[in-house]
Amino acid sequence: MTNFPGQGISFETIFNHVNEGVLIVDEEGVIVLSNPKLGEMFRYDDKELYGRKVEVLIPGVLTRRHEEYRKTYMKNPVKRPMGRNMTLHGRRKDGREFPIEISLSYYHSEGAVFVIAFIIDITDRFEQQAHIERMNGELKSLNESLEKKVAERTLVLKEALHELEISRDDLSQALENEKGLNELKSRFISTASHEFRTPLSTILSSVSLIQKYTQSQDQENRERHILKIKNAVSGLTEILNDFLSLGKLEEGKMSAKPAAHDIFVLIRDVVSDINSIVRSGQSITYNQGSFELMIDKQLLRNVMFNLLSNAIKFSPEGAEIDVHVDDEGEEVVVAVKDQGIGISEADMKNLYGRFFRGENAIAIPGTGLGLNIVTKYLELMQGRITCTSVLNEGTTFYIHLPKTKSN
Amino acid sequence: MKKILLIEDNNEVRENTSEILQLAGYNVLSAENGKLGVELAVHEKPDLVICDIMMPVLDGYGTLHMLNKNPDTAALPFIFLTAKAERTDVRKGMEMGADDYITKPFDDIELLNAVESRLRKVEAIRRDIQPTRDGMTELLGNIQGIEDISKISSRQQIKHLKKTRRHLHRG
Repeated sequence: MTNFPGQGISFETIFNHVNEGVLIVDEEGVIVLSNPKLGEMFRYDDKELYGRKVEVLIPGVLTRRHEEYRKTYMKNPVKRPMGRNMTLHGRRKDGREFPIEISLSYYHSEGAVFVIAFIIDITDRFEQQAHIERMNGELKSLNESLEKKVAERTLVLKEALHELEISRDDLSQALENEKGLNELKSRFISTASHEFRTPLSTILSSVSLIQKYTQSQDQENRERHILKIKNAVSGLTEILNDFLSLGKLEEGKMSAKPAAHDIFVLIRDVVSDINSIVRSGQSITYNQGSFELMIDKQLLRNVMFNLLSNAIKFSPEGAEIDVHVDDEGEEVVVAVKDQGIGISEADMKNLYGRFFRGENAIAIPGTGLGLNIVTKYLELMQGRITCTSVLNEGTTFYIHLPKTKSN
Repeated sequence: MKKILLIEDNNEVRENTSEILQLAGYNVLSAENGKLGVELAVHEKPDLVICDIMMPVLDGYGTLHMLNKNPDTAALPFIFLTAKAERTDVRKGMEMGADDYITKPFDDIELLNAVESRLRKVEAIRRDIQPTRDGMTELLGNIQGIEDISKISSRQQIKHLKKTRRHLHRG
């Protein structure tokens, strides 16, 4: 160690040329030594700081606190390296502040404590950091705005998706409706085909026969066929009326016009009208009584006519049909009981569907509209219909009519 | 007098059709459903059957099936007279082996022509075979022919058979 390259370099050289500011402070905080770099940093001349309190280098607002801190420190000095994530500031001679980093150390000499501080100017780093932080902030806000945008777009997408779902549902609903309508149409065509072609056959063949009866003594035959034609035409008219009332109901053009009527009188009138179409040996019985009800007379007549003509149509010759009116508290119930072919359990579900014909009713003429129209009429009257049936034994339809006066 | 069996559930149509046929000189038996119709066909051996499709108890398709199954009635000329007027309905009827298919409402002339031509066809087949030795030989030949046909059908060459039948309908 007698001969090394650094030989001859004095500690003073280091002190004078080192790139850190060096400061030595006594127990009272008085600067006893500072190097030129420190002066340069704080804009003081050489040795100008000697004898001055260290607080002259501290930002004004912190001087008091620093004094306290310094006193505490002196009692129990510790070594503190640089860079403990503390943002410290120095005060230049002109009062301007700048960021610094300090390492502290101490030593004892002649019973007194001296503190050595190494100070570096971190303005550049500080600015860079600030820049980075600013950039970070910008990045963050950019990120946030991006996220917001994504969220917005997601929301828009979600809404679009939702709308798509709705329109898909609408479409499939429309498709279902269309399918239903189509099925209805084809059922209408097949029903109409059969129900119209049969009476048309009668008409056409009767016309052909009238043509053949050319002699005057054939008048009786001609009249017989004219009657057949008339009956067939009125049958056709009835079918047409069914279709028309269905159309009117569909368009919502019908409404109930209730008035006070004796339900027993109404029933008696319908029965006496329909007695003209009963099949041979069939009879219709009904119970006697008197009960006034607010009701649309025409709608009730249509309902009763429909139910009774069904009872006649689906019952054998000689069968008895019974109509019974009952006061059941909140409603009046009219039961129409027949001894007809009955309705299977499977058919019960679709009984009131449009154009529906029971499995055992296919060969019996009908449009499958009657009960559908009946339910619609009853809806208008705020009433309802129920049914019990046993195959090959008979069916009973119950129409429930509300007693509400306001109706 | 030719005997015609009419199977139809609607009273008016049955009465009128029957009247048209009677005025044209036919003896008419009528039934209001397929079941009664098949019974009448077996017992009365009519020369031709006119039958509705949509009927209670036994419908027209069922009636034709029953008649085809019975050797005594299988050869009876069979005409559908029905409100089922769709092309598919007509095809179904013909494919089941009906000889003609008339849709309602029908013209009396159309019906009478159809009946007459079916009857004439049967007549023509019958007249071909005279009650002589030659006729006998021919009859045996026919039987041979029938056996051939059943052989073909047992080999399931049904397409060929159907074609032959269709030609028969058109004739």
